[in-house]
Amino acid sequence: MPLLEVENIVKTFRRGGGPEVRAVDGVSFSIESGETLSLIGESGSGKSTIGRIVLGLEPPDEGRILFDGQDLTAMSPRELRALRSSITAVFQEPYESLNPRMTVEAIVGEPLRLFRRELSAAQRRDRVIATLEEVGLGERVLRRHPGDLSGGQQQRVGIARALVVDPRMIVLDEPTSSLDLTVRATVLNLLRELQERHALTYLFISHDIATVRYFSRSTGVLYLGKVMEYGPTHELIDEPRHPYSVGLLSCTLSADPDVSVPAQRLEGDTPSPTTRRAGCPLVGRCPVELASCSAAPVPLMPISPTRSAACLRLAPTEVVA
Amino acid sequence: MTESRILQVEALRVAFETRQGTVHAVNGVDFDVRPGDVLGIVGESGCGKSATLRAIAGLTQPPGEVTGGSVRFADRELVGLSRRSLRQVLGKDIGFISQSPFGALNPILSIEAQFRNVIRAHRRATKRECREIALRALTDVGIAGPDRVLGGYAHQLSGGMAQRVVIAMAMVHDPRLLLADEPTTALDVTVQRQILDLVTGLIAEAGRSMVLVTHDLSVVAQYCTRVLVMYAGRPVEEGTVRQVFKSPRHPYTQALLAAVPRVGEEIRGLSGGLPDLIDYPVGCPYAERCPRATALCAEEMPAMASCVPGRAAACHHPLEEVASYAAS
Repeated sequence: MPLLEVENIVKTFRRGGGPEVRAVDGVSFSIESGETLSLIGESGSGKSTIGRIVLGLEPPDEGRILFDGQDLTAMSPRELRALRSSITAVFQEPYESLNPRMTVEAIVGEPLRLFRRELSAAQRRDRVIATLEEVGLGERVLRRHPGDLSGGQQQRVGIARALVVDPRMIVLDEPTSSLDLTVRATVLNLLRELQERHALTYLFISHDIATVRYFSRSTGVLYLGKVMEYGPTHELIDEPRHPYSVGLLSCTLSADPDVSVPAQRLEGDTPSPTTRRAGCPLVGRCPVELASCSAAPVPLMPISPTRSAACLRLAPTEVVA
Repeated sequence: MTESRILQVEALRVAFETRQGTVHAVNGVDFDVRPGDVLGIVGESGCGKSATLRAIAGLTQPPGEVTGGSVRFADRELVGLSRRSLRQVLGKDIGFISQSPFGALNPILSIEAQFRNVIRAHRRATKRECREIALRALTDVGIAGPDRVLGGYAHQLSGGMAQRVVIAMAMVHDPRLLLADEPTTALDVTVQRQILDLVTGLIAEAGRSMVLVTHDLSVVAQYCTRVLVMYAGRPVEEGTVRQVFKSPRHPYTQALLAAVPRVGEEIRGLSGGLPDLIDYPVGCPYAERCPRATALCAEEMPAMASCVPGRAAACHHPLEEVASYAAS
């Protein structure tokens, strides 16, 4: 049974009296325990909103989220609170997500004060030190403040804070995007080690395709709040099928000067998310669109035993007929 | 010989005064740019790549200061020029594109008025002539409805459109050299590719040159002809993109390349951090993190040494060159 099942979630925002934005528009996926699912997409794709919904920071307007079989959307705030330490998060900007006035000890100890009230101060301290050691920092940083640390060390503090309550799942929202290349590599390797050691389940949110390929077993490609394509990471990245995935991946540059991929251009820019669309969100930019693409929403349909895509061009013939 | 070099940077130094002391951000940078070159300057935070580019463009602001060296553009020394004299060159023969197009555009002036200012800074033109020049420039950067863009304001543009407008403005006076500081870092990948194709296309078609500062090795691999790798304010390696990427000679370059995620390969990071840029080391700044370092490295700063013209590394114990890439 999957540890996390997200079923058809919808989230709409309306700023002031402005038009409605469907940030997440009917998204479903599931993650098996101990696995990593990546969500990739550009800005406005809804990937971070999905992360916030899974974390319980935003309620969805529609849909269900099952964690270990329990429906989070049907729980009372009290029940949700008890679960809060089972799903934790690491965010993109370590410095912004850490309180600059708190010491590292207070930052990493805070979730314990909230969720492990039975621990004494001494036990809490031992736990904080053990966790800091696990992330490669150790006791010497206990009394430091985030501002005294490098970007990579700050992100390790962020990881320690997510890890200290012994969660089952961690939402990683662009955890290495603001880090330098050589630091990013050490942090990614640390996250992989921790996953193995603690059988952690990861929801990995990223715009960086090379990192996703290195890091995750399965991947969903998001565009304007919808999953365009879903499948095993390597298959999907090496041979994308949905026209949006094809366009996105062909724009990814190789660091090998001998490998160049011709860009398969998508027309124009991503439209405003306030634009109302009856059909596929790629209509107007798609090189292979059909008249029927704009008529009605295109569901995610299987295109092979392991993969699915939301595209009429790829649909099994019996569905089209 | 000098005519073939459009830009010569020699022993350039930039320092920032802080309460803790003088931060040596750029510590002796040398390189040349020839017509048609797209030189990538690559490195991680604190390597001095942006400070180098801003110094070349005369954009170093207090508490930063160019403390030494020379920047010659078309045989004219730029370091030490008055702001006035500098302005005759910048924006005309040298164009500059920054990371944030919204920082470069004025939020309260229409795009047309900003084009007019840019055009009139270096030539006389009527309002109508300015409009025609601007429309052509916007069309050249692939903007489909240039009329509408001209009448609008920066906030009405997407990030990709705004960066196109900035590029169009930078190209108005047909500069011979374009300086770009992380021009696509703030943009989505699909837009990044459009913008980089566009800029390098504009460079290639008129035999112009570009210096592109980036932290992204794949941008260098795909768009640059030559590369300069920097670490702690110093160049550590230089060469053609193929030479440096396929057969790095400096251990730091090798470490950078090993950190790029690749299919089926483990990635490796670097532990430790940059040396103190206030109390700058006397030896190699990379020595403390380097697996090849010896006692010599801690005592003596290695100079950029080249075996082939245009190919150099600053290392006492460089990696063996792979023969098949030596000349490529």
